[in-house]
Amino acid sequence: MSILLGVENLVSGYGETEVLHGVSLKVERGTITTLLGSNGVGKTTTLWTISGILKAWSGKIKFNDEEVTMLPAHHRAEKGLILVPEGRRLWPQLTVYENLYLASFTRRAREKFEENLEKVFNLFPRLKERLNQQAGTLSGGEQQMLAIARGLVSNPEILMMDEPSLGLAPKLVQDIGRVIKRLRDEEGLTVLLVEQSVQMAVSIGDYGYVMENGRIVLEGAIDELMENSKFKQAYLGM
Amino acid sequence: MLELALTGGAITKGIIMGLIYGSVIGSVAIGLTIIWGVMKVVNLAHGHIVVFAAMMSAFLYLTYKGALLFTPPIAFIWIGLLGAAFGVFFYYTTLHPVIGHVDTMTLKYEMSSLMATFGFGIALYGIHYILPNYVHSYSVNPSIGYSIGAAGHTYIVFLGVVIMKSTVLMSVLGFLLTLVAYWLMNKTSMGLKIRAVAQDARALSLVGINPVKVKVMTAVLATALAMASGVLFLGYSTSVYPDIESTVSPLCFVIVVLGGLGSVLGTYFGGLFLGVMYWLTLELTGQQSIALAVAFAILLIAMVLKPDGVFSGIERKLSFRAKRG
Repeated sequence: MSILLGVENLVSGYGETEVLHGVSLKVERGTITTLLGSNGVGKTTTLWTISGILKAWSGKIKFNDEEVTMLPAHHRAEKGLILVPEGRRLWPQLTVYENLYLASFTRRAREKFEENLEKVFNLFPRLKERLNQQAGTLSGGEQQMLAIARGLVSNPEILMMDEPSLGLAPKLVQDIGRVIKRLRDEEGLTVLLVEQSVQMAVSIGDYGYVMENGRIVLEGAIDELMENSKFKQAYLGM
Repeated sequence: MLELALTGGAITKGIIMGLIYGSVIGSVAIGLTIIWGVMKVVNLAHGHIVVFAAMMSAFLYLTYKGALLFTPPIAFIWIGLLGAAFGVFFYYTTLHPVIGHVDTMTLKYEMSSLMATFGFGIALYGIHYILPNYVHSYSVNPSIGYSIGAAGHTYIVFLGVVIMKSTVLMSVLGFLLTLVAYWLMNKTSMGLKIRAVAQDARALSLVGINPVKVKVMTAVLATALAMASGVLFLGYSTSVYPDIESTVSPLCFVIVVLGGLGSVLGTYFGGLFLGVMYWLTLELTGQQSIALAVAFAILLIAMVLKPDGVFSGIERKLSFRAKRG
């Protein structure tokens, strides 16, 4: 297995406040890697820095054997480094179709737009019914589906998802988990998942990182983590 | 003493002249509805840009003795294209420092944009006075708009109303300009990006689109439309002076609010409506100041009754967005 995304000693933050104090992680091609930890430890900051929304203060981000640390966010997206952000960040006054269509303007996405669109409708038939509805009028679950769909239409090499289950009913959380698993198994998609529902994350993940206070404190294959009593107690309450 | 002249002829004239005027002033407001309604930049420089283009084209027209290139039906195209370049200058000097890296336009940034564009407008206004051969007001030949192969009369008579041919031509061109703006905003990918950038600029960068580029495009489109319509305004009014901005600007704001922020066709209809109200009042009372007062009274009523804009629904009804499946 080859490493698709490699992050070394990443330091970044907001304004003067340093949030990440040297985060290193690796994501293997075709796997689901999860980033776990309680609120405010720097999970979202990590994804934002990898996607280029935040500038890295120091450290290295390598994607597909190419250093992307200094590239602006839209160039990273062009290379297939796609983030499905926390809070969905759709364009609420545009229709579902327009939200998806906007994701197809990069060269890599344009070629496969029709194909990806079919794929997305297959995963989320609900979206196909609501194609001409304004995104802001969708339910929370549908909006999350649209956010993931938009990520997929961008034709990602790696899909980073930030809290895709936030604010959703337990059944929908499971549905989202199932979709992510299907994408890995059927499409060979690489996923970096930040998830507050640890149950869901460990049920589909291959490898896990645990963050505390802007640092990685524990890592390992999910099976190994599940045998770690400290991890189980802290994150699964077992 | 105010005397009301309530006759059928006055009403017919008010409506016809109002529609002609409304078409021109409606197209003048389109640039504002795009930059303010869509990108949330409260562009106080809009009226100044319109008048600047009108002054410039009048100056060129008079300097070159009415050469074909400088007659409004031709000039509005190339001055509009020049406006596109001017839009880049406008964006980077005035808007970029304020909104260049803003993700979602909130009230705070709207207010900053208001102050910045206010400054730009004042600067542009000042330029008129330092021109080497400044005159207080430019007046051009009333047939200015119709001087291409202008054989025959300058006037036509329609339903007993005497109408200057050039004003009809300007209103038709204003309508065409509106259609172009509508097409750009609603049927092209550029328009889609522009509509997205105000709602969430960061989300654009997440799908691989450079949001700053889209903001530049918005300013370019709005400025190009403002300058093109400025030439039409000259062709309609045949005389122009820097201070006419103080009439043009408020009217544009009224029309945009009336028409629905960000709605191109709604704004155009807002212009038609305002034009008719203005001319009807003018015909019935014979006083321009009352006509203007009526226009602003309409704004007040509209803001209370329909704060989203009276004509904003027109665009939704007429537009069919990309449909699939």
